[in-house]
Amino acid sequence: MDRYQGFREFVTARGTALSRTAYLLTGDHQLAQDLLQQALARTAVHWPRVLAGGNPEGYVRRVMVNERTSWWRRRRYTEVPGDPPSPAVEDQADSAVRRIAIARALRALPPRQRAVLVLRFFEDLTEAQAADALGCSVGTVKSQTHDAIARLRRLAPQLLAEEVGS
Amino acid sequence: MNTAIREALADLATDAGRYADAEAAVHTARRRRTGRAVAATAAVLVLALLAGSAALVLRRGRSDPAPTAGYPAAVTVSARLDPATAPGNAAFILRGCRFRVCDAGVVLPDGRRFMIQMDGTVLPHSLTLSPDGRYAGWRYAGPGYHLYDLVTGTVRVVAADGPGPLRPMAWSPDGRWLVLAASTPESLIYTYTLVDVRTGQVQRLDAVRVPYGERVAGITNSRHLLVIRYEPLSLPGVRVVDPDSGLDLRTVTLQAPPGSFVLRTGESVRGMVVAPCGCTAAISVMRRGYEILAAVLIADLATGAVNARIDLPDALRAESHPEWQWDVRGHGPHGVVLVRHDDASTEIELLNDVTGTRTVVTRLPAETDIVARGGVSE
Repeated sequence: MDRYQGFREFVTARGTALSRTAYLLTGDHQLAQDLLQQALARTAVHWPRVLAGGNPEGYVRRVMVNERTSWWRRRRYTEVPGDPPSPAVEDQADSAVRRIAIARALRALPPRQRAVLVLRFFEDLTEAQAADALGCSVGTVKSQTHDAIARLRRLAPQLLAEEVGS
Repeated sequence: MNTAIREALADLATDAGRYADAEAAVHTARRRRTGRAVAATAAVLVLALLAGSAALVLRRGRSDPAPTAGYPAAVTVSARLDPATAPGNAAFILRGCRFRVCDAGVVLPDGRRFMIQMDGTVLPHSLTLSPDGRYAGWRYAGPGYHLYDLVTGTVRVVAADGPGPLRPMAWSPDGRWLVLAASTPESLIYTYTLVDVRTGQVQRLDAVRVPYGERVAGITNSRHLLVIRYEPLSLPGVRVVDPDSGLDLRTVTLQAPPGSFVLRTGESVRGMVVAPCGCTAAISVMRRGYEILAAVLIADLATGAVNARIDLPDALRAESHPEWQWDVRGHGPHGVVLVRHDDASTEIELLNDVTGTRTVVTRLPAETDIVARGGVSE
């Protein structure tokens, strides 16, 4: 019996969604490809056990988050913080400019804060699910979310303008 | 409240490509499983041999370390580097781990190791060793930098006169000049200090400006700073800077030989060590995303010509085992000092930058690391 039975089908079905998560975690196409492929390779090694666990997508997601954080810790001189978004962004708030601005603001966040935003607001995970994916407590997820939003507000106030009044 | 973030993330996610490749993942997984099976079989074999009192050492096909002037085949004895101990010139500094601060000791060419003392509970860090092995440097919790003369047993502390604690950056090939840098945790810009190790004179280099994305990678025997400017996915430039005026004396643009490419897709340049002659440099080529050293470029600092690309053989395997890595640690008279890490051991190898051949000179326990002569650690 092929020990990877079902793995290819899983990748076919969920590859696009996982690609988006990888891209949001890294903000870079090449890094996203590296991150996702590394996570998929690790998942494939343990595929029978991962499949038995019943949530292979969650497993891949968790590996990606941990790998991303690990890369960040090992980084040397590679990452140059992105420029803060231009104040003029709001004036030309079309989709493309908004995309660039949020990408820059996200790039300036530490990987754990970035991951918590992606998991909570893109993946729509609950706090408990995000805590499980990040391998931390719910309280940590709450505080990381708070810190991440506060930092985004500072970096890209125009993107969160509607929240300021709320 | 969080609608804006949701919309922004969803919008950004539409830029993503499709990166998943199931066949590639399965291929990598098969290679890893095969590697583990081989390792497990080897472990069983070793246990069986030990049980039979067989004095066999499994070397996985490697040769014994070759005797080379200045390097011990192995580290044998440990003692404390007490004040006023003058053990003599060191071959390298051995650290007990790789990615964090931990115990460290100077190792002599005969294999004896002298542990650098802790300051209370603070381990020495920001380590360096002069090119001749005479001066070992480190820092404790305070901002000053300790320079220990291993020949006389005297310690000199260079006082920090800048925005933060001092850390080593580069030695001149003759071992006379040491560049130290300081910055606050918030700042990405360093201020530099130059130490004349022979006279003890310390000079703060206020005129020198090194923007983020550049790094002081060397200093010549004539006190000129070599500042490497990293370019994404292309060869770096090197500025030769006068330390007093901060002015560029010249700029060297590194160039591949006509019609050839020395960087491959997804590779970038990270670091540079200058040869003892001051005329060539070994430049690290890293595979992007993995922090894996894939090759070493040999460049002529006078003309900028990249004369060679020397690929490192296990770089592909490191993608599946990131802990199996090469590092460039220095450049001595016998070649570029490489360290090869895998799960069984750490090896010091000397890379001949003309022939491309490598020689194992010292074998150390796994998960250790070194600071070579003329090298620095974070």
